[in-house]
Amino acid sequence: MKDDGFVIVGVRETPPPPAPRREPWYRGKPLFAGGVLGVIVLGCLLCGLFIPGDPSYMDLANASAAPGRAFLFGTDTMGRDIFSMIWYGGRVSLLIGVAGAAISTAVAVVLGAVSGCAPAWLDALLMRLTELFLSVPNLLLVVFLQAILGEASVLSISLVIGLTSWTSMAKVVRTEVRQLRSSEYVVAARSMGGGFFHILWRHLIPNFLSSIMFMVVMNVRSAIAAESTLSFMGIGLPLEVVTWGSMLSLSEKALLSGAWWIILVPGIFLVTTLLCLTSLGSYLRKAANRKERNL
Amino acid sequence: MDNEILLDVQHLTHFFPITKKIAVKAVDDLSFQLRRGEIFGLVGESGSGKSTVARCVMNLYRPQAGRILYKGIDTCDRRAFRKNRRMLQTTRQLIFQDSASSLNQRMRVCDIIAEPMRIQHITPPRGTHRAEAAFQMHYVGLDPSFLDRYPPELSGGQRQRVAIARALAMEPELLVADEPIASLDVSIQAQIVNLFKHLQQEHGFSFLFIAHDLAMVEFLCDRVGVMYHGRLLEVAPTEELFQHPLHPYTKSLLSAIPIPDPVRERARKLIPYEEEPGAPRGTLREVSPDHFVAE
Ligand SMILES: Nc1ncnc2c1ncn2[C@@H]1O[C@H](COP(=O)(O)OP(=O)(O)O)[C@@H](O)[C@H]1O
Ligand SMILES: [Mg+2]
Repeated sequence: MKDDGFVIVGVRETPPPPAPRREPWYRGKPLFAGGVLGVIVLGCLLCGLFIPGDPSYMDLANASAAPGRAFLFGTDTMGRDIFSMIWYGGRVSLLIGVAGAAISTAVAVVLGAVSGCAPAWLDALLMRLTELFLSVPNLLLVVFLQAILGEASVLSISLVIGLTSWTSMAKVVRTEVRQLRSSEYVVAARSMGGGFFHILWRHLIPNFLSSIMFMVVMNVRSAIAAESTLSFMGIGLPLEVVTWGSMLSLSEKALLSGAWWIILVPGIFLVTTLLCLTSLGSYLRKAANRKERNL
Repeated sequence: MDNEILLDVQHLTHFFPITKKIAVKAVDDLSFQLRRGEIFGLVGESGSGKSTVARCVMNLYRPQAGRILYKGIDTCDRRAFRKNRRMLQTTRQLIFQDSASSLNQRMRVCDIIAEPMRIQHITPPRGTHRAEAAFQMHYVGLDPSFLDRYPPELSGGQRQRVAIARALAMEPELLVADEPIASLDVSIQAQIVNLFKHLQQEHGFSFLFIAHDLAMVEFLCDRVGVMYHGRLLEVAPTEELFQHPLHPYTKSLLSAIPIPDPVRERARKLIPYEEEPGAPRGTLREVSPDHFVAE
């Protein structure tokens, strides 16, 4: 036997695996929709900076003027400048969208969480009531609530829209809370004396937020759409309150006089905003699903 | 250790209804006492009802029968509980088996440790919640650099230390730990048990330590109770129990402990335990001072 029977030869040299290519951060994100939406939102928020005049000023001499140098998007049948109305009206439309979604989210989270934490009988009762609410046509509810609240204002219409669109989100919240409430950190918080709202705020909401986020965005979208529909039908905001919806409600007269810009301009802004929100919402939904699978 | 009794569990019985007719008897007429400043170990195989006892003691389950007196207050009585709610919630603390699920993954370590103080609106003795959390972390041997981490970024042993810090932040008089080391590596188990021993000497709290690892119980506990199918079969001071086990089930459990000596380990024989069907349900009888056996 030779002395050098054992030679340490080491491990076979292997080339280091190529470093995984880092995905660019924007891969798969709705950049275009986000950008367009950003421009619209910024424009509405900052419109005071680049629009000097009063948007509701009626230049009756120039009623139904076609788009041109003086009036970028033309004027409506009452001689108001559509370019400034678009941005100022967008403010109100977006405000109603956000406020309506906020109200419906707040109602959905509280009712869903109460139902999810409650004993079986209360849970069943609340869910039956929710289903009952769901089965009443929304339009009927809106008209009914409008009648109770009286003269429509931005606040009242947000409230009406918010109060009629929380049901499906409440169901999702309830299902999530049912799963979360028996987890040990919730039990621990309860044994330390944490109350309902403490547990809701600190433990439940952070854990189910991602799964309702897309519904929040979709609620913004449907609140904007609802306001437009209502105003268009003449049961929403009065004509003096400029929104995209109330601008559209002039369409009947506009069509008769062949002033296409009166419908087309607010229509394009409305549809673009709704499409961007939809695209954002479905991205959030996919992201939430992906996270669920990875857990 | 004085002889004042802090926790007195009397004839505790708890079932879980499965259907209308069938129920699982998780804890069956169980009585034991915990003296102030004592470490009481509760051992038994999995499914013997140890966790149920812990949760009844912490008022997380309502037992069907029996009383639990804590400092002379019947905690199962709703009125007495409500009257002493704050004292009960601050002076009794629970540590769970699995720190991965007993800490909210979406809270930072400093918020987790400060949570009981926030819930009870206690002004932290060291100024801010953050400073208090840092102090408690130092106390349980965690580096303050973990303050802003989230639980999934920590190891199992570190997470369990966070859970211990959270419990100790309230200066409890009774600490209940439900298999706090069962989900940890063996070397980490020893560290945590050492930490418990050290903290108990320092704070002097009474400690209900639930485990199914007898070696750790022998090291840590002053007295041990052996549970089997929801009943206590034997209660004795640790040394007495390990030297002179009387109940056949205890003997069987002790025979399952590995011996760190290869010769004796090879000679070790498992003593099987079979409960004779229809054997009379024994009540505890004191055979020698402080040594109780079911007969
Ligand atoms: N929530 C529950 N619902 C129904 N049965 C349960 C529940 N919790 C525990 N049990 C049953 O009670 C018995 C005791 O359980 P447990 O107290 O968890 O035992 P251990 O902690 O000693 O393992 C077991 O038979 C278990 O199946
Ligand atoms: Mg258990």
